[in-house]
Amino acid sequence: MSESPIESETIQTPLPPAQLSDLWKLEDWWAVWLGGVLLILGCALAWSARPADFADRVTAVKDTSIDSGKREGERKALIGELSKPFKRWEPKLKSWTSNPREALVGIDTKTNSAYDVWPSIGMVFLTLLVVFGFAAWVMEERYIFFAPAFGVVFLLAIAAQVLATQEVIKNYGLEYPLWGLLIGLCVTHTIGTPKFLLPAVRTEFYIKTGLVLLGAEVLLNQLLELGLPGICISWIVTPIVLIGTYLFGQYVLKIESKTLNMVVAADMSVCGVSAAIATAAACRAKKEELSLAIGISLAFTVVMMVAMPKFIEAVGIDPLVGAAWIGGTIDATGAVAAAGEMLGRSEPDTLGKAALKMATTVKMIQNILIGVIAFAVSVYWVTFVDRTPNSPRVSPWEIWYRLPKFILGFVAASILFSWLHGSVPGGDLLAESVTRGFTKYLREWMFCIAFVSIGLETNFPELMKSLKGGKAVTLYVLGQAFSLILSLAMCWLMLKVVFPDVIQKLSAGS
Amino acid sequence: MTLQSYIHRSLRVVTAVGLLSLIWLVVLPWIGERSVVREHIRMMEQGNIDPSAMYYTELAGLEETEATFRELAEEHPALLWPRSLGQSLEAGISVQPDESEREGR
Repeated sequence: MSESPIESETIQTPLPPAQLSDLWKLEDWWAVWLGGVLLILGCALAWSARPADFADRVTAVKDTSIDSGKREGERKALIGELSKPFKRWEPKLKSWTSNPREALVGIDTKTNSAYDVWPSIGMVFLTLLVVFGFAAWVMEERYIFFAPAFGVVFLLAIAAQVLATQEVIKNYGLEYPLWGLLIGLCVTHTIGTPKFLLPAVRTEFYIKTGLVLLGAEVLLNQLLELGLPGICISWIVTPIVLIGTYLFGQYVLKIESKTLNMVVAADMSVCGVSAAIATAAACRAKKEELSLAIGISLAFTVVMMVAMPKFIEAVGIDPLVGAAWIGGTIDATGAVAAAGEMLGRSEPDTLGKAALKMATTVKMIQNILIGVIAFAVSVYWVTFVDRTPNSPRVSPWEIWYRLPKFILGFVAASILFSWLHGSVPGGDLLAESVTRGFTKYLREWMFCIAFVSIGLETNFPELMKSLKGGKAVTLYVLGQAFSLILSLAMCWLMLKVVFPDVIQKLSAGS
Repeated sequence: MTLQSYIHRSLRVVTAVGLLSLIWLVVLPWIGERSVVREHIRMMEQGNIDPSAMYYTELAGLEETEATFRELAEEHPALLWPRSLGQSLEAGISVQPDESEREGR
């Protein structure tokens, strides 16, 4: 490992001249290897748990002559069987009201059964300690220093997760990155970040590895789930809003930092925190800029989550058009589901459920944009932004050489899992059991540790500097206004004019 | 470390822990008892919704949503695509779309 993380201000540090040893010396490549190993391990575990009659049951799941309800039941059962090996890695902290201990240990009031998430947290800790510790050791970090430091950072991440599961915080969509950052900042600004923690404060490494795992969840074939209306609402409006907001920030607001401009634009137009993380890593944004973008996004998301369903109802917009509008505009995925549920509650049962499904499906399709956006931003950055104005045109070799390599792992994971999901018999079941039962949790903890690390490296006055002048907030507000108008127009055009049957069928409970 | 800086640090730690405890153990539970917030939380819990989900794979109940659109695509392949593409999709699958849909188009 070449540099101290504390010296690095960016999510993605510039690469030294390419050498073969980069493959085992650079964090970027290690993120690819570790993500790949975890995904392969997940697939191997799931495959080993497949039932003897797996092939026959997969054929039955695809047989359209069998009742769809039965097929869905069988599908769920098969995913459950493939996910069995991952039960030990499911540290889903419970929601709590006034006793934080209930997040970890207690009795579930719904099922009246005792729960204890410590063993699964322990499994996640051990897994991450082994993989990151091994990589740190190969990158010339002394394991004897890394392991205890990682243990303390992980404890801080647990504290952040506990704060995030308080019922008010959780149900208003204030996600754990904010609390990871807060916990880290508390340490930095009270006792100061102890030197012994520094070997485990590796924000970029955790984020990049988490992003490679996230790549496996970016299933490109899901893009067709809502046909042409979904593509138009999510994949035409979103890039227009992203590019429009970025250009507005550059040429009208004249935001000094291009990276801040891009991260705020991506965060606002694509899908909140996850898009902000991916884009920040792709364009080498400063950690303070990522933190700021996430803070702004979460604050506005809470307001939009509560206000949009009420507005749609008050104005009398068709609930399914409104639901698609919610899916296309509210940043955070969870907040979209919450707003969809709120909108659905004011409608008859079937229509209400359809509204929730429409909102989450539009958001899901938009989520998939992360892969394309992160890749496009990284290529754009190395081609146009990072080169000096007078330098000659950047060659393809130069682009390859300067491209953040973890992006390759991210894109490869996405392509491979999309192929597995869409083209291999039973592959969809395997991919879903691995990503939703295993790597999702590891990725969540990696991001949480990353945000604790950001807090441990961040100087609060520096963070506030990024907010100076309020340009980032102005950019967010104006970009969101543009997104709201354009999305509503597209939702109305697609669902009321071009494909009105969709509303009819969904409303009828098809 | 001097005694003074040690006292300052200790005071900062006590203040930070005290503030966090006050917010999470007193203020937030109090906010959670307000009727509007209570109703919101109840609605989310009843619908099994996690508003803090960061990515679509973290949403509970997503399988049901995906199943609905899979079924819709199987039963009415032409529904979500332009007419010409929809007709070729209809021709390519074994399940026949209903007549009313064809007439409507």
